[in-house]
Amino acid sequence: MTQAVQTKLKYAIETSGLGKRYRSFWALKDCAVTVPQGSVTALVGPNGAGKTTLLKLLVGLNRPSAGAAVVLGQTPNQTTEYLSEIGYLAQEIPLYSQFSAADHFAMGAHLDPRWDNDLAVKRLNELKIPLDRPVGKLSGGQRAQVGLAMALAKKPRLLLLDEPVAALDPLARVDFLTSLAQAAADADGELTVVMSSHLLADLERVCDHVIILASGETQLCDDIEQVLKTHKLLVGPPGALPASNEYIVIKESRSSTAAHALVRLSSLRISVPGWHVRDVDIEEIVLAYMGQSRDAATSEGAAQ
Amino acid sequence: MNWLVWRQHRKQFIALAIILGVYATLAIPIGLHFWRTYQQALTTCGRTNTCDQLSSMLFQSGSDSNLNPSLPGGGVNIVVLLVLALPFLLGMFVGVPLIAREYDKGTNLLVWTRSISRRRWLTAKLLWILVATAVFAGAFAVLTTWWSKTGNTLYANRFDTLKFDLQGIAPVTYAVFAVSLGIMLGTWLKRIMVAIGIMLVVLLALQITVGAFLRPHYATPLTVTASITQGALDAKLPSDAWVVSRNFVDQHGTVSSHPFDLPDWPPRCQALANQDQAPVISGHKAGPADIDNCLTAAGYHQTAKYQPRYRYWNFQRIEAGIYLGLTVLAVATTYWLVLKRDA
Repeated sequence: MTQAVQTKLKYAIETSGLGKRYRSFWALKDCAVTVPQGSVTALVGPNGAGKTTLLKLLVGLNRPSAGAAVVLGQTPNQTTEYLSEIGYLAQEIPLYSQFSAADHFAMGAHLDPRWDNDLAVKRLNELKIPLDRPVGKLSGGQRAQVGLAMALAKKPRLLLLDEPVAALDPLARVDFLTSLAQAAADADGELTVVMSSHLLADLERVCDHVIILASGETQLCDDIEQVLKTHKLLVGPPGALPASNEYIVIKESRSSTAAHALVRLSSLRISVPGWHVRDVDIEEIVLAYMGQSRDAATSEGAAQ
Repeated sequence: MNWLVWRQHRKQFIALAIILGVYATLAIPIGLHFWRTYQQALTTCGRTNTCDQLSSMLFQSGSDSNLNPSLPGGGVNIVVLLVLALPFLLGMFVGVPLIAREYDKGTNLLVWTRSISRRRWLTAKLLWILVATAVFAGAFAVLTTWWSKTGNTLYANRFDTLKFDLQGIAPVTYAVFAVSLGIMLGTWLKRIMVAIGIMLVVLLALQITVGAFLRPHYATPLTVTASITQGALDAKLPSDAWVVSRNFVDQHGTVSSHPFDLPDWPPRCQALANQDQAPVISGHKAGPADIDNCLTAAGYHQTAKYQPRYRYWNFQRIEAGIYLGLTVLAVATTYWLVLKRDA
């Protein structure tokens, strides 16, 4: 019965007006995002954009100051029913440095009702990570894998990862993302993943969905293919791009010979006489949104 | 959760067991030595008729920490210091880091996102640690009470700070409170060193306040009144009493902690004290006894307030109650901080 209700859910995460204030500072405001069930979503944004805050609100570690989040059909809370559905890997991958990987897995076995010890052990064996050595003595990449195993062996339906690869070297980063992509594929749509990162190259490798946060606000929340379809670079003669209801300008740059404008299309058909339409990659789009929010913040600051 | 608490804190549990073992190996020989020396002295003093001086023979000033060279005094000083410092050490090494270290390393985020509530996590931790502290401090207090038997017999005031604070049930509650205070401050401040500093200051201030200002008033003290003759008051006070205050009272009821000076005396008593013109009373020149009689007749007297020995266990219970009440406060605050505050 519950299973039937759960599979009907379209979104693993749905937030509206979600905000978090620390004293007088809004770390996250009016955040409205939807994450489809089974997607692998990248949560991107510059440092201080509110990524960690959003993830902590979704796990139920922190309480919102405004708005609400619905995660797997529930308001985030501290019950076993809720927590056992959520796999969470906090920033900097906290582990008990005196504990071995096996100790951590024993902890999972004691505290997580659906704990899959074979899965956890198998993952580390495949990566040749020693089970009996204190994790404080493992490399950063190995620790990240232990952390991921802790989150995955819990058999969650939603996996929330906060900058899991930020501190890893390029090879360990690729290994980690490969492991993650494999786990998502193995789950066959039963697992939803949200991974925050400020490394844009990562997200194209594994993600199919993107949320851009900047200055505590949602800039974009969509399917990556859709994002690529609706964002184009217009290249034309020096001078202003004519105003139109077919697009919204995200970022403009002008030189003496040409003008570039990254735009979001309102419809998929566009024609601006004298301007070329080019495809852009997700990295450029993300950077444009981040730049836009920074400029807005600067002018807002100047106005004050 | 039990597995996790044991796995996380087993080194501390083992360290506590070792410390207890070391204390037992120190305290048991000392206690036996005291008792044997006392028994031997009892038989000897019977022959020489000096049994009433036994206390000063064995204990220089009647306190456990100042022992006659015939007893291993140096070792006892160290032991007494260790027992006095115990609540502070437990608060520092067991209490403060319990949750502060989780915040410090971020592991609270790991354990709080397993499939159990923070409430269950905290309850398991607190229960294990506070019960272990109580058992450990209880064993310490039992050992201390046992080896102090000789001193308790010879030197009867059991309210002495070095006895009351080390024996019975009160010191167990000091330890339990110190640990709960450490846990609460560590949780609140999330910084180990700062929390330790504040815990030590708060605990010391509390121990001093309770010992010096509250403890004498747990029950209304009994009062004795005596003439101002030197020694008259002591003769009336039970030898095992805890004297809370001593005062001199003059003819008008004025109270002073010092004897009244000559110029304040009634003139007829002043006259007795005048060496050259001292009147002759019933055939001899007036002396100190006549002066005392004169002052007593005029209404001068001494009073003392004291707590009798039979109130010892009542006082222990009251003090234990105070510290347990504070422990409940600290624990409740810790729950509030962990459950209501953002991670």
